[in-house]
Amino acid sequence: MTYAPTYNLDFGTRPSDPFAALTRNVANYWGATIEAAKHAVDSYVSMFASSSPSFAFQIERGFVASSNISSAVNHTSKEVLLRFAEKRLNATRNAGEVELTLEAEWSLWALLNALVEQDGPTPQLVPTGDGAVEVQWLSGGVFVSAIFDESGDFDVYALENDSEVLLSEEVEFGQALTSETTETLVSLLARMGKTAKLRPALLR
Amino acid sequence: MAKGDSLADGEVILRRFDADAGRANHWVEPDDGSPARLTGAAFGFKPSKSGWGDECSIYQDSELPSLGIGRKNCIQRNQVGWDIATSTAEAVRGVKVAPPGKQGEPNPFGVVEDRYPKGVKRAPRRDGAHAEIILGLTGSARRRWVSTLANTFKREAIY
Repeated sequence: MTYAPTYNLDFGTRPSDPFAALTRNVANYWGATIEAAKHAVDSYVSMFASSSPSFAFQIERGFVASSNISSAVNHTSKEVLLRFAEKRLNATRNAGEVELTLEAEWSLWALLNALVEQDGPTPQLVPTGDGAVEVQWLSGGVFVSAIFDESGDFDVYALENDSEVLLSEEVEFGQALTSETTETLVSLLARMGKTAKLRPALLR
Repeated sequence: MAKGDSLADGEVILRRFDADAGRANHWVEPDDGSPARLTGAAFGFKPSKSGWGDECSIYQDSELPSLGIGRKNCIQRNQVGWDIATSTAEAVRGVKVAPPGKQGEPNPFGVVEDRYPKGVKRAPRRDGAHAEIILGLTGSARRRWVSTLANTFKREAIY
């Protein structure tokens, strides 16, 4: 099963008709992401549902498991993590705690699509308390966060051991993260993923 | 200590929050199983009574025994399913958002004494331990500060 992202953060100059392009990209993204995620999870569920009740239990809650039951190694796929993010966003939105503009939503999914990887930490979407949305990753003493405002601008921030600021950068809507920031984030999230063994949020 | 005085750095401070697992918007569970952290949504800053900045209620842990109450008594009777998260005055004042080498805005938080905010008459006992986090910042930049403040608060189950 492969997952083909429809775009990444490096989308170059702003298009002449940004709203039309925005709508198209969001639609493409959502279609591809949701379908890929559903297909991946459904295929694994059907594959393992009859083999072990505990496997079915895990899979239904977001884990993709190996087929070797005696030495099972759980992997959490990119699709499952994105689907979880979507579920949390919808719950927050349905509760009326987030009012996302199209620009903010576009920036959010572009960032998630660029940074979420298999076995990486779980992207947890939360409201800021004043209508905006934040994505947080927490594991291994590292806190990574991005807050999206109404214009689609966002900031990324990383903190280690509650005291050491590793990263703090503001990104305008339509602009790419710098390569240095991208490398730092990818490396950091990969390191965090190695400590992400329990994932209580996915099991909730 | 008088009203408005800064709390000592080592003072453990408590913030009650809605721990409803269905919404789970006020807290986030780290993937490694360590204690949950609060999110910015758990901090409803309101304009302060003094007119300077915004404020958010907290309680001083060290004051509870002398009032004959425990942490769970900081939660109101109608706040079913709520829980307590803890931090310290030092951690709140130590929040920073700029990386080393970059000059950022100074920390906008104060942590101050505020016993019996509504007067002593008929006040619940927990009001004797009441304190405030003061935030002197407006605009969208405060979201980052509040998020990072919230991250210093760890959930401590009381049920």
